[in-house]
Amino acid sequence: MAHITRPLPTITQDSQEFWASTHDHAMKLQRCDRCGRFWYYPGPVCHYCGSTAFTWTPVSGKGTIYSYSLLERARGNPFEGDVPIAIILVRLEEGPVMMSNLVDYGDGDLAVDAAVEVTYEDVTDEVTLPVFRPAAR
Amino acid sequence: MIAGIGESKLGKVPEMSALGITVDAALKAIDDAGLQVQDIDGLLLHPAFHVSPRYHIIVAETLGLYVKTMADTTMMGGASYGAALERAKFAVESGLCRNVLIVGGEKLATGHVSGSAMMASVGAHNLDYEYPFAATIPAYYGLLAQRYLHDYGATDADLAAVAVATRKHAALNPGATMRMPITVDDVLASPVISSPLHRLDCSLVSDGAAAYVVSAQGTSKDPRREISMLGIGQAQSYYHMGQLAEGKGDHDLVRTVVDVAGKRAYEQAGLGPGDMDLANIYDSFTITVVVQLEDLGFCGRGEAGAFVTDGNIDPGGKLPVNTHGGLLSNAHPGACGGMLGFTEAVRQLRGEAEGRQVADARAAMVTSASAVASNFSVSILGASA
Repeated sequence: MAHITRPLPTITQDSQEFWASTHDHAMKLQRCDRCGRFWYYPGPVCHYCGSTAFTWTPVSGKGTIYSYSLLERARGNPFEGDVPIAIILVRLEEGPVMMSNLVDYGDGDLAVDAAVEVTYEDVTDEVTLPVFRPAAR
Repeated sequence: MIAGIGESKLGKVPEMSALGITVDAALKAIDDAGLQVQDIDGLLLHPAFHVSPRYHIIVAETLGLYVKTMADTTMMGGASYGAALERAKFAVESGLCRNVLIVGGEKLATGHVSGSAMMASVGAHNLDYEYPFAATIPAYYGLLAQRYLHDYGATDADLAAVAVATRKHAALNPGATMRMPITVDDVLASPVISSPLHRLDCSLVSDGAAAYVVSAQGTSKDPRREISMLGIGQAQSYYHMGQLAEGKGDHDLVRTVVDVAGKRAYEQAGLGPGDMDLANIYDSFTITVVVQLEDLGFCGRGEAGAFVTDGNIDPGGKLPVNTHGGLLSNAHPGACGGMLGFTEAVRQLRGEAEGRQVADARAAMVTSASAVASNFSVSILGASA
């Protein structure tokens, strides 16, 4: 996998369970105890029904590409030397849409509706980012 | 009503500070309104890349405005200066202020802001769940554009047509930064910044400042030059792009909430899309114009490419768009860049737009947008009766 100089997220009380799950290479998202929906990004309340009761729940890591952009020029950014970088919006099987990267891909894989699955990039001892690769066929 | 407008030199202004160009635009607008500096009792500004959260007070202090009854910020990125216009309208209509100065100036081309991309990211990017994946501003708009192309079977040539039309307007504006005519092939041959967006799909990076003065109707020395605010609407949706994509109701990433802002503006003005003599539509990228043309009812869903390619937004077209050359070809000094759409609309409605004057311009729409097509302001301005 090509190296990307990653700006790092700030881990807060709202997100520490999420980042702990990606660190374990087993992503969990919050699932609302009232309406049953998963939400992303991590936060203190269900985006959909306002409930504050939720359970950190493992997700399948499978989804499809909602949209993508291949970044080819990024002057002034820390990852300026690491382009091209495939940026994707992934619609997870469980519903939420998350921004990520497509990695280890070939011709034709970077496409709307293409099936993808999560993999993990250990960036630092503390931070592991969920990224995606084409789903095994 | 808008009583006066001002602009600093635009493009590259290495000889002046950001504060210098900001004050220059302010003084010009106050003079254009036929006022003295001490007549100003309200000030609105978006601090943007300035480090001090009290930058609006510093600008007022520099102008010698000791007492104000309103001095505030509108922290809405590119949409700030449309939102500020509504705030100023409320202030003069309620009697809170007599004359409100709205001003902004940035030096993105020759300024001292180091790592401007990083600074921009502080507001426009989410730093926890998006920027770690290398999402830059062009990448966000690339994601929007790619989804648009997918939903409607459009092509990058449809986006490029906006850049071509905008350049035709810029060619008529002696002050525009980029005036050389371009073709769709030129746009598609320019380097990809973040697919499907090429360099010529992206706005410029400029220095510049602009200002306007808002006063109560009928209070200026020359009522013929007063420009009415016939209708103003704002609408904001979400911030994280995944949340925008999930959408709600009739809205999602590609179908923005600018229709809500537009509806408010149209209803207040008692006018519709067909009544606009011109529209200065915020053009951070070509795709930004495309989605707004559709959401504001100038053409149907998925039809913007054909609408633009058919010449409708060209000089002399059914709806000339960005008659100054927009952010794409005139100048884009950051968050205050959208102000240049307002100053241009005022010139057009006063009949002072010289070689690019739209014949008998009576009503003009001006939009501004920020945070990747999620915050919008729509204004409809009218010429004096």
